[in-house]
This record gives sequence, C-alpha cells and structure tokens, in this order.
Amino acid sequence: MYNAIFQAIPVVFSIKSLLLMFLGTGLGIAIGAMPGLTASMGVALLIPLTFGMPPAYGLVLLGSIYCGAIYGGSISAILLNVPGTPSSAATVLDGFPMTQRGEADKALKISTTASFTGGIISAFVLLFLAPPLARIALMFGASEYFWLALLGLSVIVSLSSANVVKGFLAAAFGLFVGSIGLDPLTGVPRFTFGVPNLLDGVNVIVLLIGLFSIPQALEMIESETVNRIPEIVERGVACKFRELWHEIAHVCWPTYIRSSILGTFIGIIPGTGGNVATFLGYEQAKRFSKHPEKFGTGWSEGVAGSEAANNGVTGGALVPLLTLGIPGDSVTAIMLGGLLIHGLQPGPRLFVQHPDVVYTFMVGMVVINVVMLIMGYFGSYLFAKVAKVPYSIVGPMVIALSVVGTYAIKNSMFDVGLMLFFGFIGYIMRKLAIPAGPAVLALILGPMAEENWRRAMLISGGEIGYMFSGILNLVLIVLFLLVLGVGIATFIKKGKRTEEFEADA
Amino acid sequence: MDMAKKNRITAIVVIVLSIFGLMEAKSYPAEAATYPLAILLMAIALSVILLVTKPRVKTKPGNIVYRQLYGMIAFTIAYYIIIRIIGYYFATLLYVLVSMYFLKERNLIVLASVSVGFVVVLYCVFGLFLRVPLPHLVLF
Repeated sequence: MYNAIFQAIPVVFSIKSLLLMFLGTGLGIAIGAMPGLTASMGVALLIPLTFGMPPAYGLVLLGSIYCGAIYGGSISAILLNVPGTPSSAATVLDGFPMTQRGEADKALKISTTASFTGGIISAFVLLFLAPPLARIALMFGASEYFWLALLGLSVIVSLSSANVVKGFLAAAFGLFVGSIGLDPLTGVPRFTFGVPNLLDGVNVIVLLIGLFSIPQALEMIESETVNRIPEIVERGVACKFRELWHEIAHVCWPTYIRSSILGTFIGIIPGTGGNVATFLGYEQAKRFSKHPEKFGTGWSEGVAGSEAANNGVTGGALVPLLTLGIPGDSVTAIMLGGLLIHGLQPGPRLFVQHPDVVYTFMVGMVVINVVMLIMGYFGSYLFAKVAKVPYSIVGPMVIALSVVGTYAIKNSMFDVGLMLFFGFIGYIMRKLAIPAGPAVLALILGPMAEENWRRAMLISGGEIGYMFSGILNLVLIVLFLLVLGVGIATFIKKGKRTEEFEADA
Repeated sequence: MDMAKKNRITAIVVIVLSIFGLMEAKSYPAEAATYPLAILLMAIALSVILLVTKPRVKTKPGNIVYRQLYGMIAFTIAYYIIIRIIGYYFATLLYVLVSMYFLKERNLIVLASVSVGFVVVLYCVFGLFLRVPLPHLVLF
C-alpha cells in the first residue's frame, strides 16, 4: 500500500494535476458560494468536463469541485445569511451574527481552517481505511453484494427522508427506471415500448442531471427574488493571523478535531452527507463547549463545528464508494456515475485493477484540501462576489449547461429530451416533498441487487439457503433489518420530525 | 394545495401508472418479469400507505411567480426543438438572451456580454477542448 502511495505522489504533484486542483477547487467554491447551486449539481454538471481526460485526473477534478463546493457554501452563509449549499445550513446560525458584528473576516477564516481540518482528517482516514476495507470486500460474492445493495438502499431511505414512505416511493421510481432496457441475463427488452434509444437503459447521469439540476434551476427561476442582487455586508475588521491562531488554539481546536471525526463518520455511513453533518456538527460543538450560551450570538465554535463536520464528510463518503461501490452521500452518488462513464467499476476490484487511479485520487484528496485552504484563506471575499449574480442569469445558464452536459455523454438529443423530462418529474417531486436522493441511488443499486440475486441463484442452483450462508451475509442481513426497522419505527412514531433534512448536499 | 391533498393525488397517480406497468410487465417471460413486478407491487403498496396516513411534512411556504415558471418551461421546450434547427450555439445564445430578458434583466451590457460570453466559454470547453460534436447549423 505504501508503495502505491509513493507511486501516486509524482502524479498528484504534476503540473497538470495541480492546475486541475486549482481549477476544480475554484469552480467548486464559486458553485458552493452561489445559493442557488448545490455541490451535487456542480459535480453533475461538470462531469462532462472530465471526458477528455485520463480517469485519475478526472477524479481529481471532481474531488476538488466536491471539497470546494462544500466549503464554499459557508461564504454566503456567513456573508449573506443564506447557506450556499444545504451542507452549510447550520453555519448561518453563528456565521452571520459574526458578520453583523464586523467580524466577517474572522468568521470566514475560521470556516476555511475548520473546513481544511475536516477535509484533511477525512482524506487521511480514506487513505488508510479504504485499502484494508477493500481487501475484506474482495471476499464478497454475489449474495453478499445483493444484501449490500439492499442495505445501501435501506440506509438511504431511512436516513434521508422526512417521510420514509415517500423515500421508498422515490426509491421505487429509481428502481423502475433502472429496469428499463434489455434485461441483463435474458436480453428481453423491458419498458422500452419499441424505442431503440432505450434498449441500453437510462444512463445514470441523465437521471442525475435531470433530478438534481433542473428542479433547482426552476426553483431559482420561479422565485420572486429572481432579479435580486444581494447586498454583501462590509468586510469589517480584517482578522490578523495572530488573532486567528489565538482563537483556534484557545477556543476552537477541540471542536475542530471532534467535528472533523464526526463528519468523517457521517460520510462513511451511506446516504448521509453534509446536509446531516452540518447540524450534528453544530449541535455537538454546542454540547461540548465551555460556553454553550454563546452559540447563536456569533460564536466561532458554532462556525467551526458546522464547517469541520461538513468537510469531514468528503473523505468519509468516498470510503464506501471506492471500496464497496456504494455512495456515501448524494455527491459521491454522482461521482459513481462519473466513474462508470470512465469505464471504472467502483468496488474492491478497482483497487486491484486500477490501483494507480484510486491511489492518485486518494492522495490527491489530501493535496486538494491544502489547495482549498490556500484559496479560501486568501480569496474567500472574492468568491463572495460570485454570490451576487442574480438567479435570472444563473437559472438559464444552468439549464443550458445541463443540456450540453447530457448531450456530451452519448451525443444523443434523445438523452437531452429524457433529461428534461426527468427534470420536470424532479421538479414535481420536489413540490410533493419526495426526495430525489433515493431515486438516484436506487437507479444504481437496483440493477446491482437484481443482477447479483440472479447470479447467486444460478451459482447455487436455485438454493435460497445460499443467500443466508456465511458470516458476511448474516452480518449484512442483520444490519439491513436494523436499518429498515429504524426507518419504519421513525415513520410510525407520531408527530413530525423537527428537522427536515434535504436529501442533497 | 395542502400536503394531504398532494399526497392523495400522488398515491392515486402512482397506483394508476403502476397498474399500467403491471399489464406491460405481465407480457414478459417469467424470469425477466419478476423484478419489475416486485417494484410495481411495492409502489402500489407504498401508495396505499401514503393514502391512508397523515402527512409528515408541511408544505413549504413560498411564492411562486407562475408566469416566470411556465414561461421558462415553454422557452426550454422551444430551446430543445430549435437546437436541431439552428445548431446548439446559436440556440443557446438565443435561449439565454431571451430568458434573461424575460426574467426582467434589462441592462443591455449584461444581456449582451453574458449571453455571448457564455456561449464563447461553452465553445472553448466543449467545442475546442472536449471536441464534443454538438448539433450545428446546417450551413456550417
């Protein structure tokens, strides 16, 4: 493993790679800083940029956009009182009050350093946890993959929907779309209705861009504030390094570490991401703080708790994605689509067949966080200017980008039409409070479940007992039933949930 | 429309569509049909639960300017159609320009520079760098 890391270092530090990191991080921060755009959207729309590159560089670019966008959300949270992405929802609670007191610069620098800490800790966890996990996952057979797919689906539904029934409905939709096309084992066309373009099935990126970008663009467009140019509060007193260091060393550093680790764990659990981490990170910071009464008044620990946790998700969410092929959050679900487009099947075999790609990416994530620190520390106020672009300009551009991005996959206007159709459905889903996340993940996990079930039946000669044999299967089944149980229990418990987690980052 | 009514409509629509799906899937050979049938039956069951249970989420408040919404949907459909006629780049230029104007952007400099600038960037990235053969005007 150390060999692979050493071999990846020259690639990661090559001029091309560093340029991509700066480009990706810059784009990511800009996207994150704009309140109408989310990290998932940013990655989905920019996947086509990676088509012309070797997969390792493509992943580095996507990883930079991911980290940058999750951090960038804090900029508008702090300066505009509006979270740039759902992952910075809790940052407004103390970030904006700090701005109102003239401490915007300090808040931004706390956010930058906290995000860096979260990101780099999770990047190291990824680097040292993923390879051994992949070795375990290599022992998985068809039955284990079947239960893993079911587990992934149940986690996503249970944890990311305010109404679990709607989450399952969204998953059913995704499963259905995933079944369109030629049946993998018998070659029978399913739900193609004679349309030749559908024989290949629906490409996951088409559904992704449709469900994540178009509804967001439409919501920007339909809003009363479509022309509004937000006023950014005066910069306030510049925060010198010594003051920042004092704040971190004497107040914040336990929060930095704690929230980073919490964020990493949240990332590792499939289906939960920055949108959950921001609140849990904030709440944990408050619980362990020496001054919980100061939270909400403009207290740096509040900003630190939220931002360290949400960037901690980035490396963590990549752990299940790379080792098991199961996305840790909605952004990594999109990266899964990106990997598939490059012909790479995420999962333990990726470590065996393309170690150079995987290690370049993982080592790259460490460096990306350093780049993000540099860009954020010196440039956060510049990125804030991006947030001033009104929705009347951003909305149409997002739709135009969605069109070209979809077209770039297979040069198919049919795909573009399909994407717009899914976009319309996605918009209706949003209005009905049906989350889009489970639909996308079901599109990926559904075929995985079906194929492995049928393969397992072939291997065992129809013996159902095969699905329940061996300790790995039993562990997965128990986890699956546990998570399902939690989800159903949450639904049955009367009363509404106090926090409605948007299933997006 | 409150969430309870929305849920009811959702449930009924899903049930109806699933029944159509079931009728289609029944014509497939048994091995290929099992999975879709399971999904559709699951969807029907979920819809029934949705129909009989109380909503868990309140409708989010927020004013929708319907003129803007419907207008943009119409423009987007038109955009999709004209891409094949006048090519992606010209279609995008028109679409972005018209959309911004429709959404009340009136500054001529902004309108011109954003629409032209955006298309130029798109051309550099997708046309030159990625070399994606986008639909182009029949003339060139």
